[in-house]
Amino acid sequence: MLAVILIAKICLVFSVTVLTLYAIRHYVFAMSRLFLKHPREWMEFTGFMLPRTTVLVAMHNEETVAADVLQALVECDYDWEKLEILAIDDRSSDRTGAIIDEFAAKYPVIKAVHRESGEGGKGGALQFATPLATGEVLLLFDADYFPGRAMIKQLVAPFCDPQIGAVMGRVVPHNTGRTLLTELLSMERAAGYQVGQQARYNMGLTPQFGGTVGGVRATALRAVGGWNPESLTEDTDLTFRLVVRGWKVAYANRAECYEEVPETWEVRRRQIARWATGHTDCLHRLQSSVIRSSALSFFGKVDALFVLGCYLTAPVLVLGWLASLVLFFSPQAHYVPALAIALTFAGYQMFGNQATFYELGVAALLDGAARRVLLMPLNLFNFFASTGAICRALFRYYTGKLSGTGGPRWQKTRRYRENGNGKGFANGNGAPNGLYSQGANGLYTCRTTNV
Amino acid sequence: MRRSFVYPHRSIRSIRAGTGKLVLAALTVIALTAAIAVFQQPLLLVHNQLCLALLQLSGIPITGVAPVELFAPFGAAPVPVVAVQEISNHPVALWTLFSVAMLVFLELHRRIPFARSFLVFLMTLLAMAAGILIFHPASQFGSTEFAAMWLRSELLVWLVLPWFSASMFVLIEPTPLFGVGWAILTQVYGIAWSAIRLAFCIAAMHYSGILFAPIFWFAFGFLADVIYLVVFYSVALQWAARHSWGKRTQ
Repeated sequence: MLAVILIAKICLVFSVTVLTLYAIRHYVFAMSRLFLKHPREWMEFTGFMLPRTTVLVAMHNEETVAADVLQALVECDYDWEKLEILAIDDRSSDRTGAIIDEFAAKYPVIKAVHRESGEGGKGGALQFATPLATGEVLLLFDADYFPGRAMIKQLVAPFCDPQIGAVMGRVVPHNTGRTLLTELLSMERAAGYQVGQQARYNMGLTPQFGGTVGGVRATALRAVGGWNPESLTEDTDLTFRLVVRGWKVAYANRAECYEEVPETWEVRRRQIARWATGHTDCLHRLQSSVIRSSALSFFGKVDALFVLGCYLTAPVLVLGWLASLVLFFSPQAHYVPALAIALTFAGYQMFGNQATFYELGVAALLDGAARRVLLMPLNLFNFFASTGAICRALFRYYTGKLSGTGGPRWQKTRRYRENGNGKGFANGNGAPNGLYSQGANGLYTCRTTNV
Repeated sequence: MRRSFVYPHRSIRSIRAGTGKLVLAALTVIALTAAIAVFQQPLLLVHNQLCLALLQLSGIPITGVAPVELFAPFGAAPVPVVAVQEISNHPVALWTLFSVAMLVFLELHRRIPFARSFLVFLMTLLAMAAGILIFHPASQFGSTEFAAMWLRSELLVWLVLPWFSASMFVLIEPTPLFGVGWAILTQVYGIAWSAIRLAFCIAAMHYSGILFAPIFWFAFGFLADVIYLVVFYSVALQWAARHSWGKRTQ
C-alpha cells in the first residue's frame, strides 16, 4: 500500500509540475497580450514590391465549398500578373474536380491540378502541387475558408522582411451561432489567435503556421525539404523545420479569414484527435532538432517544446486525477501539500488544453465579444470532451507505434455549408451572401464575429 | 514610411493598465488577504454556523461540533459532526445506490452529448469509490475528516482568490472601483457557497457514506470553486467588453 501511495505521489507531483508550467505560460501570454504594447502591423509598411504569389487550395471531396473559395480568391485585390491559383483536386470522388475545371476555364489565373493517386492527406496534395508553383510566396487556404478581398496582400506583406519564412493569418469561425459547440470553439479560436499567437509573436517566440490562411516563402520551403506528406499536421511540422533552420514566422492578426468549425461533438472529437496525433508525432520527430538548434533562443526552444507537447497535457492530467483519487482515500490527502496540489489540478480543469479560461476572456475582451463570453463556464464540457478524445487518440497512436501496426491516419473534417456554388460572391464585392456586412466606410466586416 | 492607420478594425490592440490601476490591484490583494488572515476565526465561525443552520434545516441529526486543525499559521476551526453511514457494512444499500447513480449517469450520458466526457469522469469517480468500499473498507472516514479536508482546501481558495480577482477584475474593468467591488463580492460569495456545499456533502454522506465523497470532492469541491470564479470572471468581462467596445466605436 505504501508503494502505491508513493507512486501516486510521484505521478501527482509530475502532473502538477507540468500543468502548472503550462498554466503559467498561458497566464504570461494573456497578461502580455492584454497590457503590453502591440507591434506595428505589416500592412502599415508601404513601399515594397509585391512578389509573385501562388495560392494553393487542396480539396478532397469539397463540392459544397469549392466554388466559394475559388470565387473569393479571384475577387481578391492582387495583380493577376503576379498571381496564380493552383486548385488541387486531391483524389475527389464527387464533383470537386469538375468545379475546379469550370473555374479554370473561366479564369486564366486559376490552374486545375488533379491528383489521382498517392498517399497522405493535405501534405501529400501540397507536395504534389508545389513543384508546379511559380510564385516566390506560396499561400495556403483550406477549401472551407472565405478569404476577404485584401487577404492576399495582408499575408504577403510580411515577406518584405527577408528573415520571414512563413506567415500566419487569423482564423475566425463564421458558423459561430449554429450550436453551443460552435460558440465555444469560436471563443477557443479567438483565444488561440488573438492571444496565443499574437502574444508569442510579440514576445519573439514562434507563432504557429497553421497550414491555412498563411503563406510560406518558396525558397524557405525548398531549403527545409518541402512538405511532409506523412504528417497529419504538416503545418506544425513545417513551422518547426523552418524555425530550427533560422527562418522566422510572422503572425498577421488582422489578416482574418473565415472558416467552418465543427458543429457536432463527434466531428470535434475527430478533429482534435487528428491534431493531437499529428502534434505529438511532430514532437517525437522534431524535439531533438529543436533542442539542438542554434537559431532558437533558450525560451524559444522551451516554448517550441511546449507547443509540440501541448496535447500530452491531457493524459498527464488524467494521470494526475487518478493519482489524486488514490491519495484521496489515503491519510496523505489530509496534508496541506496534497491540497495545494489538488487546488492546482482543479484550476487546470477549467484551463483546458487549447486555451485557458483567462485567455478566452482576454480574447473576448479584445474582440468586444461581450455576449458570447457569458458561455465561458460551459467550456468545462468542451474541456472534458477534448481531454477524452485526446487521450483516446494518443493511446491509439502509441499502441500503434509500439506494435508497429499503424501510424497516423488522415481523417477529413466534415463541412456543413450547403449551396456553395460561388454565387454568393456574384455581387462583385467579394462578400458571400449574409456573411459580411458593409460598413459606413465601405469596408466589409464579418457580421458573425461581432457579438 | 509608416502610415498612422490602415483601416478600422474591430478588435482593440491592448488595454492600458495605468499606475493607478496597478496600485489599486495591489491594494485589493493586500486588503483581501489581510482580511482573511486577520478575521479567519470569525469567518470560520460564520462558515460553521451557516453549515449547521442548513443541516438543522434539512433535519440531519447533528451530534456536536468538533474543532479540526487547519494548517500553519492558521489554528483550529469548528466543524459540524454528523454520523456517517458505514455503507460497506450494508452491501444491499451500497449496490442499490451505486446502481441507481450509475443508471442516472448513463441515462444523462445518452441524452446529453456535450456532457458525455464529464459524465464519464463522474462515473469513474463513482466506480473507484465503490471499489475502495468493497476491497478496502478501512479507508472510510467520517464527516469530521471530510470537513477538515474541505476547510483546509477552501481556506487556500480564499487566500488565492484575491490574486485572481486583482488581475482578472480590477485591471480589466474600465471603472477600477467596479472591479474592486466585484473582487469583494467574489470573496464573500466564495465563503458562503463553500458552507452551502459542505452542508450538502455532509448531509449526503449521512445517508450514503463515502460512496459519493470523491464526486463531492472533485466536482462539488474544487471544480465548483473554479466554476464560480469563471462565472464571476465572465460577467465582469462582459461588462468590460461592452464598455470598452462602446467607447471605441464612439
